[in-house]
Formats: sequence, C-alpha cells, structure tokens
Amino acid sequence: MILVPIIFGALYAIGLFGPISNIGALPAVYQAYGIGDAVPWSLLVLAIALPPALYLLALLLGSGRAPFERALIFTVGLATSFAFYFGLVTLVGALQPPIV
Amino acid sequence: MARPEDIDDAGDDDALRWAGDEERGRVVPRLRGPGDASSAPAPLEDPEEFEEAPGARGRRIAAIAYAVPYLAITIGWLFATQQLSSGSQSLFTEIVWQFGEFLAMLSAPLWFAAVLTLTRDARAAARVGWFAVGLGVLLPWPLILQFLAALRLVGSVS
Repeated sequence: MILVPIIFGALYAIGLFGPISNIGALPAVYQAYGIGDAVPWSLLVLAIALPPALYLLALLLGSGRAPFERALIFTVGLATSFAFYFGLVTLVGALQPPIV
Repeated sequence: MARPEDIDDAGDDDALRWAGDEERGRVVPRLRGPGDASSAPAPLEDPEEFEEAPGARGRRIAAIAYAVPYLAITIGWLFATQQLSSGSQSLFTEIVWQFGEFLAMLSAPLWFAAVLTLTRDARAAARVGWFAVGLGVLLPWPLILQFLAALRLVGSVS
C-alpha cells in the first residue's frame, strides 16, 4: 500500500525542518560570536542525513509487510530520528567553544 | 405462581432441539443438565500436545530481560526532554520541536513494541539482536551529556 510511505514521507520531511534551520542559521551565529571556525559541520550534515537514511531503512525493512507493520516500522524510525536529532543538538551545544 | 414441578421438561427438550435433528441422528437435547457428566469439558488427555512454538521460551525471556533497560531509557528520555528547548519564537518550529520531544519520549516503548510484534515468529536470537540495537541507538544522549558535563564540572571544582 503506497499511502503509508507517502504519509510518513511527509512526517519525515517535517523532521528535517530543524536540521535544515540549524545548518542555515548556526554558522552565522557562530560568526557573529567570533567562533566561525568552530562550526560543527559534520554534526549539522549528519542531522540532515539521518531522517532520509532512516526513512529508506524503514522502507526496506517494511517492504512486503502488512500496512500496520509498515506503519509501525516507519513510526519507530521517525521517533529514532528525533531522538538522534536531540542527541546531536545537545552534542553541538556541548562542543561549542566558550564565547569571550 | 408456577412451581418447579409445574415446569414442562418435555417442552424444554423441544426448545433445545433444532427441527430436523432426528433426521440427522441427533435425538438428545443440545444442552444437558448440570449433573450430566458428559456436559463437562473433556479433560486434556495429553498436555504435551500443546507444546510451545520453537523458540517461544527464548523470545519471552528476552522480552522480560529487556523490559527494565527499555523502561530506564524511557524514563531517561522523559527527563532529557525537560532539559531541551527549541529556543525559537516561531510557532511552527515550536510545534515541530514538541512533536519531536513527544516521539523521542515514546521511542523506546515504540521500539520495544515493534520488536515484540515483528519478531513474533522469528528466532529468539533475532529478537535479542533487535532489542540490543534499540538499546544502543536510543540512549538518551541529552541526559548522558549533561551528566558527563556535570561530572566534569564537579571534577574541576574539587
């Protein structure tokens, strides 16, 4: 059933909103505070790459299964993607050099 | 008032028959009295007949063993989300952030339920493996990092 991947595709896209906002805004903030060299690019890119990667993984794991099981796998993937994102946000904050 | 002896047993028997029972060889009422031994369910002659599916015991033990760590992770995320803040004035950002926090809090129970559901007929090792992956993936890093930062702070003070 094609409806489940489409609905969850939209939800995963919503999950991308935070990481994309961060990669757009954070370098400017770091520049403004004089720590432009310390922008954690790898973490910012990872935060963007994770939701699509988890979506594809959920799509693969759910292929050939009943719609309920596919929806369950997609939901777990979405929850995991947000959990990762919050972990990365905290890590970015922890790695931020002190502002003088 | 009707007395018990007035009740027409033959009428009851008629009520408990279907038309055409006689033709099919059924002449006794479908329901019998409580004293009738044949109405009691037949005792299980051989309990070994109802053996568990292969690996069911291992799968059940895995679920019980992993329930406590998953509960701990859920509690960890409950506390972790209290420390997080979107820091944004935008309503949409705040809604997405709250939605994400809600899902992060539910991530461990969801993973647990998904493994239980999707490995119903799988080998016990598969269930153990997926439970272990979930434990590694869903660690409440915001809480762990804050804990580590607090330890470092205490270490630097003392």
